[in-house]
Amino acid sequence: MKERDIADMFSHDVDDLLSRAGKLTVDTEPALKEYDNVLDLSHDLAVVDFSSESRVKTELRQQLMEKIAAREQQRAKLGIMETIMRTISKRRKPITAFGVLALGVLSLHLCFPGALSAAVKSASDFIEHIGLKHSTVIHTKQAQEASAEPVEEESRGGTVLYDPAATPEENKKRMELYKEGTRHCDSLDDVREALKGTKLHAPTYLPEGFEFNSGDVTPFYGSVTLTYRNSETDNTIWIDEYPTNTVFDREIKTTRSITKVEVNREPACWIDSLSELTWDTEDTHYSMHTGYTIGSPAVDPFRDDDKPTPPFPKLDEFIKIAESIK
Amino acid sequence: METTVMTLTNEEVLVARAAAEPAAFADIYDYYFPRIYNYIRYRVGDAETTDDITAEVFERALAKIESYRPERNPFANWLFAIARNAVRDHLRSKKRRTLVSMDLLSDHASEDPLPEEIAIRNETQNLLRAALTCLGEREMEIIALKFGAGLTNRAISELIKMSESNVGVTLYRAVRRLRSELCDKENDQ
Repeated sequence: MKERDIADMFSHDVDDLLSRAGKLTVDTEPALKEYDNVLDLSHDLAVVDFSSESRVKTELRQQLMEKIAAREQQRAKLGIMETIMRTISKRRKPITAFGVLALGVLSLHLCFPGALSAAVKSASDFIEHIGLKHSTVIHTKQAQEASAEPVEEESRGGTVLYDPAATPEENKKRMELYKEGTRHCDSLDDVREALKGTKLHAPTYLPEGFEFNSGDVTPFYGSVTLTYRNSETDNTIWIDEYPTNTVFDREIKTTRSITKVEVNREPACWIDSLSELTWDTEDTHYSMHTGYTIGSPAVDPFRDDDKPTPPFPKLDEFIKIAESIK
Repeated sequence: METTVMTLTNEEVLVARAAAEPAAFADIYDYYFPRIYNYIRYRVGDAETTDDITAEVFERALAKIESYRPERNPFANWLFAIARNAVRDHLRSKKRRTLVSMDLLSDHASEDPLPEEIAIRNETQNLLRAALTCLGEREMEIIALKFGAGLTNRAISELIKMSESNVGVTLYRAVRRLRSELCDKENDQ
């Protein structure tokens, strides 16, 4: 039996162990004595739980829950202030427009003492921006501690779980669709089926060696992530697609340098250090990026040194892929 | 995509509510705390540092949960990416490999005598942690993600940018090597 076959069998048996919380139910042939011994050790690893030694588990849980409750209380206060300001401005514009603004600023400062300085600080972090068809990419200074990813994406609006204007049946269907979550597909045909009528946009051009690997579809948003892989270089290209009618006013913030380029004569944004291309069409937001990023913590520092970092597509290849998407 | 071997019921709904509802966040915390803690413990070794990094992971997760998009990444992958970055930041700041001195393994050395069962369990865990130091970084990472975090090979391959089949082979080799190391240590005792 080849080592890879043994390894596949081993992974299957370990997953079985983990799902049974370490209860050993696997029978192996006597000829695989060594395999049996290795599986015994896997059983020991599967039942080991160091977390009982934690001295912060309960206290941390309490602290985090209190943080959430406090944050929601603050948001409720801000919501009330906004309502008051809108009511005043409706009755007495334009005379009190300036007064309303002054009152809002003062209220903000009294309720949230750090908010004004945060707003001023935020403005000073701004370096430049690129406007896309439906999104904005903003290059900022690294003002706060490093976040989990070098690019942060926020959207306003979007699809809601509960619409007070909809019927109970419509909201129930919406929740069921949401609970479907993300579906992993191994073929483009499966992706089309999972999108349930939303059009699939896929590239017709790919760099040499790349082929379709998988697609992850979230029917609730009508969004999809297509994964293309080069099995020789172990390099991967991801293409994220979001319909503009479910995710709008997209704002992307990054601490990396940005460059304005074009995709099919529409404005696009290229982040060279991350090999990431972002653009919009009339009905879709797109982001395309590779699996390895220059100078980013995402690059595994513990990779084997004798294996060279595989070259990944350059900007012109990215644009070629993007412009071939139908 | 199935990311963990065992799954949290209604995870996507809980995650959607977690930013605003303490009870929803508590369910996620209760499910993932042991996995995050065990993963980190495999990687850094001592309990106190593990507590610090685990707290940092959940703080970061709570701060960023509103920007989490389920269509971009399964939640487990997102959370363990935060955990991996936190461990990496710690290891870089310490400028050392994940080697654990024998002194740090004896977390209960100064306590009163324990019941026999607990003593045996601690001895087994101590031997295990000592044996883990024989593994390379990549092997340690895969062991930690498999047995500490309970992730599938596919999820591990997405996180560490390695093919799924290579994850399986590396996992098998690592456990085999670990067994060999444990046998040597038991023979030495």
